[in-house]
Amino acid sequence: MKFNSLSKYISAGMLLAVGGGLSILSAQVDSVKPVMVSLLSKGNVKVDGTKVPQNATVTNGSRIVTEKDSTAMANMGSNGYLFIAENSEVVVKWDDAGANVELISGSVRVQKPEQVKVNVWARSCNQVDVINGEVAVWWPEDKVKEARKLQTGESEEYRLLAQHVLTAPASTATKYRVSIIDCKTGIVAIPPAGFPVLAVAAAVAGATTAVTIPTLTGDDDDGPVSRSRP
Amino acid sequence: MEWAARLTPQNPHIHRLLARYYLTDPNNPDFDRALYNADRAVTLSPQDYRNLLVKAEVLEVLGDKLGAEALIQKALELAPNYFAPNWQMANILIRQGKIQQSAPYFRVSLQAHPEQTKRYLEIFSQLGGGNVALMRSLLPDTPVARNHLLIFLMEQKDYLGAAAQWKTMPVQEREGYLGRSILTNLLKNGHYHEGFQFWKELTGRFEAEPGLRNGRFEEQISEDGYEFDWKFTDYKGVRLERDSAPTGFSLKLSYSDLGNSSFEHLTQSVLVKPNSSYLLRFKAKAEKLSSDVLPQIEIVAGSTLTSLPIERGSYDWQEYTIPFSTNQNSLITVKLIRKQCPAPPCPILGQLWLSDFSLQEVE
Repeated sequence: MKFNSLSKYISAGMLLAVGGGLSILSAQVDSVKPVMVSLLSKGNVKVDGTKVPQNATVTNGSRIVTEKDSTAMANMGSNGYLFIAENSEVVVKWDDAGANVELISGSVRVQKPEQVKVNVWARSCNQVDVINGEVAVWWPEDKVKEARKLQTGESEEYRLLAQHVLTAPASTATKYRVSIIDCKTGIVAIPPAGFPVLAVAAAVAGATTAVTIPTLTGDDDDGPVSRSRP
Repeated sequence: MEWAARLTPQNPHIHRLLARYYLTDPNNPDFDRALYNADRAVTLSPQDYRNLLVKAEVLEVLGDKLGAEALIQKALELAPNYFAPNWQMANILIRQGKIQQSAPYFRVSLQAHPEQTKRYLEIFSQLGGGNVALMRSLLPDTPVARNHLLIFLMEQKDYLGAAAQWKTMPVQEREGYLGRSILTNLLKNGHYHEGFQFWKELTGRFEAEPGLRNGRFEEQISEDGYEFDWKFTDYKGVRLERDSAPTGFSLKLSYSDLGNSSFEHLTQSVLVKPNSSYLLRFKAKAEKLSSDVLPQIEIVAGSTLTSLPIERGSYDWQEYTIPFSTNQNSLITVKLIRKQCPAPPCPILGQLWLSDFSLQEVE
């Protein structure tokens, strides 16, 4: 996937709003706001400090941590889906208005439906990649600065440590990714497989983009149980 | 990633793994591909419960919860005692608020993975409004689960719930330090009558009635005593022992402290009637008891403190009476304490005997 890199050095620690774009979700999402959501995971994933089985339930405000080679997907019902990459730490909250994701480390991919607001508050320098739709970046403590809107295919870095940002309500479905990056180099700390490394960062590192074949081993290696087994 | 599936298209294992990959991978999520591969896995190997469970996950993500439940039910028929189908059914039901229906599946799966108990107790508590009986019904009937629930209730500061849970546990599972903590916290939080009932359960004194206990020190007192018994809280600089008295036994305190220490030797909590008048009576004898600050008997009734200092010198048994009134609280604490002197040094020497403590309500 290619992006038009617009590496601008704006405030880090911002919230991203989502809006605009095509309706891209093929899944029918629940119309009911979730009390609890499902978390489907691979590898070592902890929720509130406890390692969870690959199908678990999380409640509002849960802290989810993925280790190396481990990923998770939170099915947030009417609020869409949150894909959590390896080596990530997030806190997920939701209310009647939508979902709020605090990205402490790593990377998340949001897929949200129409009429739902999903905010991602990145705790540090970060990169935003809009896969489809529109994302609005706000600076709530700076009333002078206007919201910055990113469109499909656009990517932007935020490296200066400054104020966080408010979000705008969403009007259409959107997919986007937010990744914590190194504030000095702009490199994603541990890029997930297939991550679109920016040209600048790749040149600095002197490396070529690596293609990583994802691990397909399952967690459940028990043999099937026939009806005759007690 | 699809290469393996192309090479072995009849391998349900590969399709199952691909289904899960497309369902959860942050870089290549594709629910349509997930459903296709899940379908293939089930078609190729319908008797493998794992394929059914993965397809159920896909259906739930796509919003078809009933379809997902039906598949998990089929998986359960194939592997009724395995953790995964029980766990998945328990979770899909509880996410829909179907607490009661989830109970049998949680009981099986939490027995296999008790480390999940604490986190799920928080979920059960949220859904059930803290209903202890409901939480209990969702847990396996094991010592580990019972203890998890007890500790959870204490962490939630639901001491009444913890006391109720304690009573349901077999005696051999009851940890003494937890029982003590429950009693202390019941009283701290104003649950005096419940605390007294719990104390009876804790100590086996099922026939005990409210009132000052062991006034003649006929029963041994100990450092480990509970609130409704006499208990030591501090014996630095003094030797405590049981001695004789005209009407039974007495408590003998032999002081030899040369510093300026404050002691709280004895305490006992007593259930009383609120807004009532009482007399505390006791007898004392002393030998060469001397200090600038002597011990005193204190009665703490809410924020009201009534005290009577012990006399210095040497004397035979004398009776003392302390009138006091209770406030709206139904718990008082009787103490024998010695406060610090205004300035050191402030030694306390000599011997003191105490006996015949009694509490009488007056009109």
